Amino acid sequence: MFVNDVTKVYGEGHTAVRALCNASITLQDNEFLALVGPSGSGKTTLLSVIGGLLAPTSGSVVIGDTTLTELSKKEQTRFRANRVGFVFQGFNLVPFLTARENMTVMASISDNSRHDTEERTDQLLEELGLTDRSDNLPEELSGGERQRVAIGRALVTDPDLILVDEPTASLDTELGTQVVKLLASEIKSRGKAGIMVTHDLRMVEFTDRTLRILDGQLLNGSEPAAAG
Amino acid sequence: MGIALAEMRRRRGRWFSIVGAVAFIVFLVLVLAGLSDGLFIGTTGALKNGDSDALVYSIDGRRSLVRSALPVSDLPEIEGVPGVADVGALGVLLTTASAGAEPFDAAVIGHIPGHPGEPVKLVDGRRPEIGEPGVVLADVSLRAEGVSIGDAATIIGASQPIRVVGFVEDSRCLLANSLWVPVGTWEALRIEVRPETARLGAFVQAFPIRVDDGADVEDVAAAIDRTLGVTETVTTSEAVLSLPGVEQQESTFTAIIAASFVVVGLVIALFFALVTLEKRGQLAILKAIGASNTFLLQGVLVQALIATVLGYVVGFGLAGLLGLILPPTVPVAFLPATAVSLFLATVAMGALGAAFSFRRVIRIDPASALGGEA
Repeated sequence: MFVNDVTKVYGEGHTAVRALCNASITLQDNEFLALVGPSGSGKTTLLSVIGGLLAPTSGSVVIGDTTLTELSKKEQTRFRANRVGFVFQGFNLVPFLTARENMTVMASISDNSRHDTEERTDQLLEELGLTDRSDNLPEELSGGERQRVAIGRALVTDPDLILVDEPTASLDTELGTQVVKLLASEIKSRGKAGIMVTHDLRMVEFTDRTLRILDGQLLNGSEPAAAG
Repeated sequence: MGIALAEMRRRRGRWFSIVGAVAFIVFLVLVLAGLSDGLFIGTTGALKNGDSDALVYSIDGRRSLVRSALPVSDLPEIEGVPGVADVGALGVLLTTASAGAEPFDAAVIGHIPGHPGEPVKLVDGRRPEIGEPGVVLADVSLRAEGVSIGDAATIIGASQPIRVVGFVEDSRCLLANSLWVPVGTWEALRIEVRPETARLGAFVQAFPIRVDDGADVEDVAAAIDRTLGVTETVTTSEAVLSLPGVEQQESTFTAIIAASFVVVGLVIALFFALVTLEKRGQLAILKAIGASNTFLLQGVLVQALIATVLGYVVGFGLAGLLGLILPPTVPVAFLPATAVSLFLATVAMGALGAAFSFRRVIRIDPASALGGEA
């Protein structure tokens, strides 16, 4: 994945706010990257641009053989459904769908067949230790279980890129660590590329590399971190 | 669609409330429509179900079954007008009758059996023969007054009773129970009950006509009026609407029913606006993970359609129950055609109401799913 010289400016004239400034990232398959920075530094904006949720003012994002920033909104939506997996801050599962349905719903959204999606869902539920909880609604699951369902939903379409937004924000340290470890292991075992936005520096040790961002600018000197 | 159905299944309480609201309005609308149809049939049945294409009135009668009067001798002349296939007669005598129990308001209607104007829906017994004396065909509503076939009915002021030989349906006239007698019997009854009309000779109020196949009713009507010079011939549907109060009654009920449908649309629109507002975060997440607007809007539409269909079914059931317990004196009629058209209107208003929240759904920004905003 390539992020090429991406700039995002909100507003115009003297009220313009530069949320991202010439950001460039290269991410290989099988690489898990941490993006850290204080609130308002631009990390969520960068994640949104990479995920095709927000159009940059200039620059481009290339995922595999597709230049995401050249696609129409409709095409970007389809691209996200098929090739990008998201894990959101909090749990953000559909509250009236069971754990299993929260994953199989991707069959209705993506181009994957129902049969393949259901087969992958059952595999993932087993890998994530959720088989016994598959028929439970989110409100009947613990925080860790909910986040594991969210990870399963992100992986069920076998996407090229996994984008993770503050996965530990609603969890205590121990549970947060377990979830990020699990996330890293799932991403690495599948040879996927992953980017995790976090403000929790204890979590970066489970990623391959850390990039720091401040005032919309990626800082030099980010070193590869030890793999978890 | 799976998400939409799962939401309705697992969040039943919320959906009960909207189904209940729609059911209540549908109940109201169906009862109003039933009353409207009941009043319409009760007022117009005698004209509407007389198997005629047009009615010939006297020009000074101004399309009134009470004011109009034409000599019976005009009948052959009308019969001779090109395009006229058959001619009947209608004489109306609004009076009081009794058949053993309480006296009731009656419209004694003279007609020519087997010709236009005769009520078409015979439900029991037989029809009188042309010129058969002392027999009557009664509207089926008189069964509620305890009248049966073979009973003698007495017209107040008449010397001889008449015997009921059959029952017809939807043949009431100006909300009075109708008693259909051959025109000769009617003439004799009229002179006995209203002796002051004896000097006018043999007359009826109108001549119902049928036109030849392929003939234009308006053209034939104009030809009759030209030939006789003292008539006003109008199509049967015009004649129905010209009955006193019918058009006003229809437009009043139509306005109330239309207003109720607007309320159905508003209730659905408000409900989905609130639900969409509440589900903003959830919809943003679904959009972020790749759900298209079409996918989400289909869900909203499916939910609105299910809610309105269920609401209609419940409202229909309640209206049906009310119909069972209403006394026969209340002129209510639940007609299948009305039920079908109100069903379609309810579903259409549900879809329209849901469509108001489409813009809200489309405007939800998937980027708001990130950064903990969802």
